[in-house]
Amino acid sequence: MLSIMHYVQILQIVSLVVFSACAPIATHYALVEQRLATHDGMGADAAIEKGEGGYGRNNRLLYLLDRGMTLSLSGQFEKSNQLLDQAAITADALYTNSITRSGASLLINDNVLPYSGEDFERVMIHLISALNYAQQGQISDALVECRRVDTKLNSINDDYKEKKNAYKEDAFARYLSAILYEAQGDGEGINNAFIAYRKSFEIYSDWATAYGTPIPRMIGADLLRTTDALGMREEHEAYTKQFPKTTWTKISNQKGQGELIIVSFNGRSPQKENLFFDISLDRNIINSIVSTAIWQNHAGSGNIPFSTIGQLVRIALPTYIPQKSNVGQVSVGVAGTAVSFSSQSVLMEDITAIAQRNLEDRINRVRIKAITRATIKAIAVRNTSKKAEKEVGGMGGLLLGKLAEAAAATTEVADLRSWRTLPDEIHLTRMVIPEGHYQVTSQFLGRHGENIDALLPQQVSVKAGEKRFIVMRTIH
Amino acid sequence: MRKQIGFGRNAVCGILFLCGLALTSGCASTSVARLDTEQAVDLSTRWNDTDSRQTAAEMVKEALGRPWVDNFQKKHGKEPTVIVGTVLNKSHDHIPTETFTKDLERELTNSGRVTFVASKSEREEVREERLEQQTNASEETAKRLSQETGADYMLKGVINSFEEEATNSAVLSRTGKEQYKYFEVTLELIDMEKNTKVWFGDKKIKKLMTRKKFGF
Repeated sequence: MLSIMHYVQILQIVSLVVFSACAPIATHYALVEQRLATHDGMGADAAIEKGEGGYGRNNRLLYLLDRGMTLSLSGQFEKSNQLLDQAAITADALYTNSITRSGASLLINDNVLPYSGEDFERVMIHLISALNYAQQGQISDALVECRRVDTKLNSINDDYKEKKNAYKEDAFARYLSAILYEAQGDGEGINNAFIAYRKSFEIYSDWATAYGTPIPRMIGADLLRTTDALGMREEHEAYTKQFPKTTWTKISNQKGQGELIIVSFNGRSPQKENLFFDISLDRNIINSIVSTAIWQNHAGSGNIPFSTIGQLVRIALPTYIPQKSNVGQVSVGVAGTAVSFSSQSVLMEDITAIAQRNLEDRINRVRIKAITRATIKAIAVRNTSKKAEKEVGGMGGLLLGKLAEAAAATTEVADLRSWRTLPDEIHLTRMVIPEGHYQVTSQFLGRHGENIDALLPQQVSVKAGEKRFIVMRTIH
Repeated sequence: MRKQIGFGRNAVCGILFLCGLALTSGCASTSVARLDTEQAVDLSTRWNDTDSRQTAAEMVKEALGRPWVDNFQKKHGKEPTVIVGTVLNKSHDHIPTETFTKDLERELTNSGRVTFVASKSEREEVREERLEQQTNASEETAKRLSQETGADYMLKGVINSFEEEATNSAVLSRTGKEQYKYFEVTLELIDMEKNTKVWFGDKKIKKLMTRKKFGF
């Protein structure tokens, strides 16, 4: 016989499950964002490091991702790459097979599983890492990370056989690799650059419809410049027709000049929230879940789901709530001793759109799992109530039944974890400038041209033939 | 007598089951098997020191076993002089190509069959020349290069990688994925004077990575 004390203990365990499984608390990110708002990368990184314990053992990946990001923003590129590398290994190890991974998640919720990252987040690891290498001038290492973007996407898309996943390729990663190949300077580099620009152009054409990301305006000039340098007359003529008003400079006329490439991370990535649905279990639903591998692997033996027909169950599904950046454009000014230039940024990647679409593409799996879980819980509740009625009877039995019901309901929450330090959008500015020393000023302008944020002027030296990468961050 | 509110032990099972399972999360174990070599213990499918050393040793041995060495000796009455150019990393891994180049240099030097010249500054110079050679590969540039470095041959190459996934659907749900990774190192030896290739070598390293999981 168990006393009331045990009842309390059970409640404690239930609440422990509900609360400990949650990702780092909101105040943690509020502090990080506060630091980022004042462009204090070091401060943001210190905040993440200090909050390491709060992530919990299931969220090691989130810590590595967040820390990898803030280390990068504070200019600690090598250390950032170490953590991002660990993150990639951790995510890969967890990814094995997300549907049938663990039975625990079928009884409580997905938060009891170690966070293995959204598909697009696993790709972003390599993109951030590529930019870390690029900022240090390590071109071939940056290219390795760009290639990893490609293999990661390939392996992810192998798992989307039943439904076509919109996120098949990353146009920005391709574009970035094109710049990096071009930075190699030799014939082979320019050849590879052309291949990558062309591929990027193709993907951006798809992205225009899939994510509403316009084709970056400089891509015409890129294609014209590289086909010209390679002596590809036919292709060059075709691109001249395709981009009739585009002005571009021959590579041979860029001697003595370098290039400034400014990547800007704007705003905050979307946040996940719960979407609750009350569904009535009917024969069709039960039939459909019984036929899935997930049911057969974890719940098949000894459970008769048909006893739950007619029951109303609650399921929770995650949904992304966008936190759109207010920044429409980054205005970059470059001032040397005798010359000055200015340019406006171009949207290269809408992370919010990719995240939303990526979740949509896999939500069917999440839904099947949620319904399976709800059914298993309903069976557990029913069995518990029956036993309680039989063995305890009266008030005690009723209480226990209600408790089981409450445990099933309160534990039904969606997995709301995500890489919170990612931006909403990635912008790019390219400026070919003569070799020299410059002061770079950048202003983040709103969607209607209003001033939103600005960075303190930065001193930058550019050598002839060099591609100099700078990454900027605004939280707004 | 005061009646204690209590529950049957069995009755609580359902809830304890719900809660207890929360504390056990899915464990995944990773095992890496390296094919071909028995002694090397690999922690991942990534390129490592052993790969670098072994590939350099095997490929240099292969290269030196070819007729070009003897041919040169017969013709000139001395050992050929070799320099190591760049090895381009086109793979999906961060490969310290400097280390691999050093491994090649060491194997060449220790072989005793060729004379090896290359100071670091010379290598840098050669690299620049090589880039130029690639853009306008003429006999003229090659000749000029051989005069500057005093080398008869240059060894250069590329490292590529590709991945393959074995998808045996029958066991997939239980064993996870089987992933193979290949590294392909291609090296070529160029006659600096004639700007022709005297040897072309290719070595593949295959690695197998299996992920198993403990399911319920």
